[in-house]
Amino acid sequence: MTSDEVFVVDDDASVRRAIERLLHTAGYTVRSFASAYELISVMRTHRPACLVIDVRMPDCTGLELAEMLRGAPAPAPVIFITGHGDIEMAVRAMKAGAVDFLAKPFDDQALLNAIAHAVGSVEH
Amino acid sequence: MTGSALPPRRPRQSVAVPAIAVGACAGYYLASVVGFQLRLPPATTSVLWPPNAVLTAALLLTPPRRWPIILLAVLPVHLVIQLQTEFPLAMILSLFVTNAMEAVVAAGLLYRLSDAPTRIDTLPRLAAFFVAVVIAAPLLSSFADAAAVSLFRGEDYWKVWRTRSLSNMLAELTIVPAAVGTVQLARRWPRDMSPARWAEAGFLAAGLVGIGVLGVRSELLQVRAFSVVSRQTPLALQLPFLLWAAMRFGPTGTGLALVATSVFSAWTVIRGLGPFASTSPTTTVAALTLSLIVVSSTLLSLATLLEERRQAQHALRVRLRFEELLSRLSAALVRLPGDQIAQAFDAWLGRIARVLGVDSLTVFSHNPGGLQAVYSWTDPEAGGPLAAVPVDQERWARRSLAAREPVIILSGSDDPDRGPASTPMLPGVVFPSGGVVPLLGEGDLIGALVFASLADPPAPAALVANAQLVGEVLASALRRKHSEEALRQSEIMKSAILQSLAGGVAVIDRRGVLLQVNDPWRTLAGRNQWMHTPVGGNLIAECWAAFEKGDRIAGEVVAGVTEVLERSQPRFTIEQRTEAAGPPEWWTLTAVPLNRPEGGAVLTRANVTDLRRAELDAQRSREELAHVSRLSTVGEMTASLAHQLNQPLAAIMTNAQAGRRILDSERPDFGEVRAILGDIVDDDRRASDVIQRVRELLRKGQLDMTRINLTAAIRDVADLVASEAIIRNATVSVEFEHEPLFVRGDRVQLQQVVLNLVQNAMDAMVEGNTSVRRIALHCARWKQKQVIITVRDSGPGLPPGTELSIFEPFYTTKKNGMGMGLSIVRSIIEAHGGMIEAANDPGGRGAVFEVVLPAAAGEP
Repeated sequence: MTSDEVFVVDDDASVRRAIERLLHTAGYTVRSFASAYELISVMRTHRPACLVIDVRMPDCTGLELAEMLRGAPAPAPVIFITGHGDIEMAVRAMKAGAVDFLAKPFDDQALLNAIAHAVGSVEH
Repeated sequence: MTGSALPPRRPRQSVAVPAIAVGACAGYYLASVVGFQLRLPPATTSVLWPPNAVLTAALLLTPPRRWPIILLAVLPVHLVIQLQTEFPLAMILSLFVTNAMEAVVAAGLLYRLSDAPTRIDTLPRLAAFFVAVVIAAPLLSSFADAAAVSLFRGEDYWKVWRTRSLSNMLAELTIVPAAVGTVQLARRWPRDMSPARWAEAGFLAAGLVGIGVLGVRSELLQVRAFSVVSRQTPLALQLPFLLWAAMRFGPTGTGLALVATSVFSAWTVIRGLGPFASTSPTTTVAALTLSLIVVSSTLLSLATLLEERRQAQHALRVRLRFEELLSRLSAALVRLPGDQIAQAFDAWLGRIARVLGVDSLTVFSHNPGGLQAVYSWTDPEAGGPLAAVPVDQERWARRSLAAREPVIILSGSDDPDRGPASTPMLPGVVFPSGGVVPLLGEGDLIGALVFASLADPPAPAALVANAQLVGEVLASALRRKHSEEALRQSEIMKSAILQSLAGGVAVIDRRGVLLQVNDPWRTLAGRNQWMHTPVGGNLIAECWAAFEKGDRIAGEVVAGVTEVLERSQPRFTIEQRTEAAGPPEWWTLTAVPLNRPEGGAVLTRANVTDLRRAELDAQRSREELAHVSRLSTVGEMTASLAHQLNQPLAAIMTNAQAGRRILDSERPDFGEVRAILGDIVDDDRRASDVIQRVRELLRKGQLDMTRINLTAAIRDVADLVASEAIIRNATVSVEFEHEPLFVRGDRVQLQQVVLNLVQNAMDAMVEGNTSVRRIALHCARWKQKQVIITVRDSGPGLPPGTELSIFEPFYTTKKNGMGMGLSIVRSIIEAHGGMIEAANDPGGRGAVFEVVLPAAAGEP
């Protein structure tokens, strides 16, 4: 199990690609998915160091996805990103086990710090 | 109508019987006195016994049922006179019986034999008079009389019979025509005799009386020649006068002359001066009587023949006069215009009445209110103005009008047992005789011609026939007057209606010639010079001339109106907009066929500025409302629009930061930086597109009807609502049967329709807590030259019975809805000439909205 693999789930291809590039510059290995279903099938065999999930997606909301992932034996830390940052969503995200919550557009350092913190907290 | 207020004169008939009774008494008394004077004693019988003849005349002038009155009235007179004699009462009474018997037999028999017992003016009537009055009555009654005289006086039966027969024959022969004729003359008094005629009658009477007096006084007999003539040729001296009377004064004058001659002759004989003086008095009396009878019969016959001829000539003259009148009347009336017919009637009625021989003539017109006397003429000599006959109150007149048959009423006194004697004779009205001729127009009663006279007409049947002929001429004139009046009224009404119309109206014939025009047509003409074509001018030709001078509208008018005139189009309408110094004005010109066999068209011109302005205001309001509605819709979409904008912005920011970090690294990967910059440009364009779409929707513009790509417009809407759908957990699918599909319309407004329908579907599904939220947009060709847009959702569907009411303004089921969305949708669709319907999906769940729009020109 590598500790620097980050999975990114976002239905917007451009956003997905931009996050991939940013995480590459920080040295992370990145796998990105367009939908929750693509991720779930991969999650059966892989466990990333961290998950970056868009809250709103066409087939399944990010919160539902997080609920499903929490049932796993050793759950990976989840960071939510959303275009609709609101208090209600933040509370529900944290309750669903999120380690951080970022509103789009976000500062690069904020995301990198959040990932580093998530990966670190798991290692500790 | 009722009779006028003039006091009616009493009908003649009611005074006739008493008058005749009184006359009979006086005459009987006088005749008896004369009769006694003409007796040749010792004989009881007179040479001339006139009372019986007087009684006969009285009975002839009286209806038979009144005869007992006359006889009873005369009885006291008989007694008074006869009681002065030495006769016993029984004999006096017996003589009355025989006298009365003679009169009754004479009058009764004449009633049986003659068609006009009071007139001796034709040979058959004369013959009846001779048989009944002159021969039968005296001979028969003399049997009884002779019996009485011989019984009471012991005279010789046959001698008495002979003397009485002869004397009574002479009396009946002379006195009855004289008396009856005189009474009838008196009835027409004084109109029938001119002064010259009176003078002539005076000379005649003077001559006869003179000769009689001279004869009695025997002065003439002193002249030998006269004496010889008088003795050898009795009546020779009187003969010229008697012939004069017979030729000039008819049976009546002859009768009077004969009475005078008989009386003087008898008197002469009794004084022993006259002819036959050499013989015995009895023989002399018989001879004189006989010769008087012969002469009287001959002269009466001559008078009758002459009278008959005179009457025939008169009838012919009257006929000719009548026919001349009729032809002149027809000629005069047929040429007259309807409005002069009234004057003509006034002028002609008097002449018609005179020729017809009636005293009064009235024309009644039959109006809805009943019969009304419209023209009337009464002979001024008939006793001044007379009350009109109340035709509709008289039973006989009503019957006549109902049966459409003429009726004539004769006074009952002359003709008591014939004619409608039981019918009241115009009660309370002047005329004892008269009649009515219905005036008909194509079988309908249009009026009545009523005539009336103081005396019965000589030929009632001819009068009716003539009156009918006159009636037909008058009826046709009256009919023409009525129809022309009706036509004029209708023309006036039509013209009034035409002038009262607010719009301009012009009527043209099939060639375009202007027939009629109202004033508004001229005032609404504006700068269209061809609309000032005068009546009688050719409107189409003027219009064509205007077109050739460059008036494009005039050209269209010519083409359109021509099509209407040729009946190839049922209607032509053109609208014209003018902007001459002031706010714009709109006009319409409409042509429809003139509904008549000769063809033609009616053109109407109207100022529709108010209408158009109102339409424009309404359209502007609709646009405002649609705009406000779009603002509101977009406002509701703020969250999803923010999300749509946020995505590319987030990608741009992250890409930019990633790029900076790459450049900050020791070995920057420029290929990656280039890719980053490419993505940034794309995302920027993506954001710009969203903004562009929103701006278009929010654009406040006038209705811009162009050919638009409907499928592309719908796809844009689908893109716009995509993020909204994601937020609300719904999917929006788009399926087009054919791409692209074009319609003519306003792109923004049609997008608003689709957007509103999609929003509505999403609201319905969210409010209905639908778990699977699907919206399917479908677009296809529909029937001929139409396009259908279908918006189908998987929501709870429409509440039953609300398929129509949901399009009403302010209809809403939402907590915060205004209820304007679907109402605006419908007004937009209708402004595009389309229609919208809502229903629940019969095969499944959810509502279906169908919008049908006309396809753009050129579309298959």
